[in-house]
Amino acid sequence: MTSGELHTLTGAYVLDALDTDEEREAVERHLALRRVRP
Amino acid sequence: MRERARVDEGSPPDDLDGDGLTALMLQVARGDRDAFSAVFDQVSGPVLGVVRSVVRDPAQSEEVTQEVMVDLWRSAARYRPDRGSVLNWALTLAHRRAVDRVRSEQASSDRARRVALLDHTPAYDEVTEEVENRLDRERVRRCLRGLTERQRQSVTLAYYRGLTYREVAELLSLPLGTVKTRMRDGLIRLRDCLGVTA
Repeated sequence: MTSGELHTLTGAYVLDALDTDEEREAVERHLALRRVRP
Repeated sequence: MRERARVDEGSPPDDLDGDGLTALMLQVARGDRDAFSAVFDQVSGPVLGVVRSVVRDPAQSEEVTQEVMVDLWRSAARYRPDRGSVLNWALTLAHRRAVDRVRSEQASSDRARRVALLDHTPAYDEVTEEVENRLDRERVRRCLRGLTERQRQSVTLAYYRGLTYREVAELLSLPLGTVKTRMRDGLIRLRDCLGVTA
C-alpha cells in the first residue's frame, strides 16, 4: 500500500472502521514513521 | 475530541484531563490499586457512555465496559501522556472494544439484517445526546450539521454502528475509495469545526 493510500485510510482508522487487522497495522506503522520524521 | 473534559456536571474540570488523572495513571502503571480505584471512578462513566452508544444492549455494554477497565489496569504501563489525555486513551480503547463486540455479534447475522441498520441508525441529534456529558453537545451538533449528508452518513455508520468502510460502501452502494475519502474529509471538517489542535 502506498503512503498516499495509507493517508486516505486515516479517517477509517480513527473511526475503528478499517477492514482488516493488517490494514490497521499498516496505518499504525505509517503513523509511527510520521511521528519520527514529521 | 476536546482537550478539556468532564465526567459529569458535578466534577471539577481539572480532575479528568489535568495532571490529577495523569498522575493517577502513572501510579496505576506501578500496580497501585487505590489509584486504579480512583481512575475507575472517574473514567468508567464516560467509557460506559461510549460503549452504549455503539453496543446499545445495556447488559452487553456493562460487560464491555468491564473489559475496558481490565484493559486499562493491564495496559496502564503503555499509557503515554505525550500522546493525549487518560480519558481520551480510555475512550479510544472503549470504542475499539465496543466495535469488536458489535462485529462479533454481526458475524452470524445476514445481509438483510445489516441493511436494516440504515433504518435504525439514529439521527445525529439523538446520537449526540447519548455520547456523554463531557462533550459540548451544542458544538458537536453544530459541527455535525456542517458535514455533507454523505460525509455524516459514512462517519456515523462507522462510529456508532461499528461498520467497516467496506461494509459502509456495500450498504450505500458506493465505491470503497469514495467512502474512505468521505470518512477522512468528514473527520477533518469535524476537527476543524471543533477547534482540536493536537
